[in-house]
Amino acid sequence: MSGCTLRLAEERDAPTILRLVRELAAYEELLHAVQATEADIRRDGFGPQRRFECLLAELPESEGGEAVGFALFFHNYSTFRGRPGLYLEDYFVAPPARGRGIGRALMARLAAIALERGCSRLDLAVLDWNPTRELYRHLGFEHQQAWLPYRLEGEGLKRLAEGG
Amino acid sequence: MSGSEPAFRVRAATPADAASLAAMIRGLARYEGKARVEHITAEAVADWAFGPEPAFHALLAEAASEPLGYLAWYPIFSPFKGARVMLVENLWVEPPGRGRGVGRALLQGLAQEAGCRGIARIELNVRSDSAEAQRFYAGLGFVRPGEEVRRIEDAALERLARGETVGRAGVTA
Repeated sequence: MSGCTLRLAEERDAPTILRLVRELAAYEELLHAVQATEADIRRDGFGPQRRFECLLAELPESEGGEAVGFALFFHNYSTFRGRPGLYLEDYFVAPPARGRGIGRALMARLAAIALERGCSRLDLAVLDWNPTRELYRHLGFEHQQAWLPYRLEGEGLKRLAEGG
Repeated sequence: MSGSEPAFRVRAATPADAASLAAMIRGLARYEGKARVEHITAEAVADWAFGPEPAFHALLAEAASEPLGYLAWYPIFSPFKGARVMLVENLWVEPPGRGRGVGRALLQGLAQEAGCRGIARIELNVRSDSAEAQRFYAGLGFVRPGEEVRRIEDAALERLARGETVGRAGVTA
């Protein structure tokens, strides 16, 4: 196995989470889109109203102990099942640490957390060019071809609120 | 829509709406071909949406006191934006409410609530087999971020938790 340690992030890890978010964004060629600050991570990850949780994968002490992977997640909800689910928002292993099973270990731990909490499903969205899609297939995820993600933000959202 | 007042209104659902909300969730579930809907009861919805830790929030559209449709949403988080996002889980208009701008009004109500809560993005998934639905959302300004939806559930999720995988033998992560 990877030899890495997996643990749930604590408030002191906020700078590490932001670093990993930025590394993921750079990989997705979306670094320009990162507006999050350490204060955002502290408020929404560790404040009175927690919006997300995060699993960190750290190298063994013998290799420096650095966090090299993360899985950031929160609960969603199925009104049909009447059960919460888990939604994996961010999932990343730094390139030098790949190939030792860290990503798979993160995903297995996340699945175990889902089951412990009575969640019967784990969802995610993946960019349509991302080679990680092959790993997701291999792990048992199914492509929900019936559904297309859409979003509304910025000026479009304001226009809708104003009825324009 | 014309300039005249719509003959319905949109408001936040309250515990008194649990029964009509449950009936509409069952209606949408049946429409989507779900075989099992009998667990979606008024009592269950009261617990899900109006308990101490609500799992989702709902907006209702109604004419007089007749429910015409609902929208269920909950807050999620974007680590890139460093901000909360609204995820629309369900949007449903009852047959008598169709063609009257009810769906649009529900989304407009949500956009207004987003403004009140300081939330700057709404996300949702649209049926890929419905060109009409895709036109509707595009017409409201929604865009597609070039993503695909993946899901693992039930027995496959249990296999994943045990560290088992599917697919080609010998492939490592």
